[in-house]
Amino acid sequence: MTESVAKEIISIVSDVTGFEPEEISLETHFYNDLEVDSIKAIEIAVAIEKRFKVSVRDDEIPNITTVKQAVEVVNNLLKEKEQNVQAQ
Amino acid sequence: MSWQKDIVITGIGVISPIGEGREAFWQALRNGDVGFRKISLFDTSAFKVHIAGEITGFDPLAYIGKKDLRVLDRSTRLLLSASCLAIDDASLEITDENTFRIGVSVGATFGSLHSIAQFDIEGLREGPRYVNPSFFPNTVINSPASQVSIRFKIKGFNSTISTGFCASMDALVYAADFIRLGRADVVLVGGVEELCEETFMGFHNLGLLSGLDGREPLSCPFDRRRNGVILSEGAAVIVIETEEHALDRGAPILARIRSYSSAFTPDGDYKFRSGKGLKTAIENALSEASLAPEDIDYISCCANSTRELDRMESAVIREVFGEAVNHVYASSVKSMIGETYSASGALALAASVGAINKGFIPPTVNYLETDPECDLNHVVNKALDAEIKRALVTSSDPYGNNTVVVIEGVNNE
Repeated sequence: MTESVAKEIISIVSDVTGFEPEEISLETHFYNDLEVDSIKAIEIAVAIEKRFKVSVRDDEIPNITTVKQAVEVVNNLLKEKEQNVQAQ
Repeated sequence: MSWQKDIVITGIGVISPIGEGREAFWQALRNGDVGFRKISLFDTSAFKVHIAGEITGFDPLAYIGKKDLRVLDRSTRLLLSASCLAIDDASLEITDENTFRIGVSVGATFGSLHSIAQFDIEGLREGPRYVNPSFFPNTVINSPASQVSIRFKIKGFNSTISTGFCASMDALVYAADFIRLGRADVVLVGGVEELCEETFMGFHNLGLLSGLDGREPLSCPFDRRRNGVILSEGAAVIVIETEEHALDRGAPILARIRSYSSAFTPDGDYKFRSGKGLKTAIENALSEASLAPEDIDYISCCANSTRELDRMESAVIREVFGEAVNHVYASSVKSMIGETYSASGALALAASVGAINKGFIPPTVNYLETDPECDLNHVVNKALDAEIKRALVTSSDPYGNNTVVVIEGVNNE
């Protein structure tokens, strides 16, 4: 799951920033390495929400600074979603 | 402050349906090439007309690279590409030292219409949460001009003028005044309009397009058969500066801006046009430059193949030029390019600079049937080799704006 999530997120980040996927790793920093500004950060968040059908909290977005953190956030949200489904 | 400063054109960038770059554009004008083709940018099945001046094969990557290209709309891509060409053509180096003395002045009116529509569609379809914020800046009309400053790190003034058919000519007037006031040394003056479904729909439903009667659309200014415009797209950017500044930096000088004038007449609509405003603008432009009508060699007309504009413009020119009307050449490049609206003035200026530098009159092509109401010294169907010292470029908007610019070659005192 984590690996495919990471791949998908790198693809989204590549689309938004214009950097090639090969230039983006888990350790890549959105703001320092990819020139992501506040608008692009929201754009990435919205694309992730659409792709994974999850909802990222707005106040959480500024704290997500690396690809790795984005992957962790998405994995946690997917886990929560799965648990909610099971609980129902 | 000196209003006597000579302002010159040192660079031109063109992206048009008949060619990209000034040399290709000028050669296409000399060839009499026509830029009309079946529209591929959007589905035209709901319309009666399917032809426009669409720019095909346009690759902004070649001019401005990949960075942030994805979020830039077509207008912005066209203007950035034309700007890139103009900056190169003028050998203009933008540095930390001179950037605050360089400005951007652009004519654009419908440029953001498609972006607004797309933004609204996404919001309605996906919900507000999923609207891409990166596309929001495209929804304002000054976005293309602003992107020019952002892309090329230009920190002087940045203005967008939206006066319809006169927009890019008015952008030139505004920029030239800025230089004359000593508030800028160099200005990128441009005009841009993109072809999109929304603008096309507007012209279509207003009944302004040629071909609405089911016949093949035809852009034939001054021809008796004319029955509407062929809508088109394009961008032209012209680098202007004082002659002194151009000489100091060793820039090539393509032409001098001799004078300009604007006049407003609220004629009301497309059907009845008195031409008073255009007449005043031409008279004032000649008078400001202390020129007589016979000092003009070529009139680059704004006639766009509509019944009223072409008739009105012809009548005004006959009235102002008197006897000289038989000697001054006249043509409309819209027969080849189509109606590019806000960009049309900048494209006509770029064409006229070519006419002066290459020694030819661009023809009014598709001309077959004489209209006695449009009796001028037309150059039709084939370019005419001729030495041109001065050209007068006109623009006229049916809602009242009129702007005229006189340019001349640099070695013809």
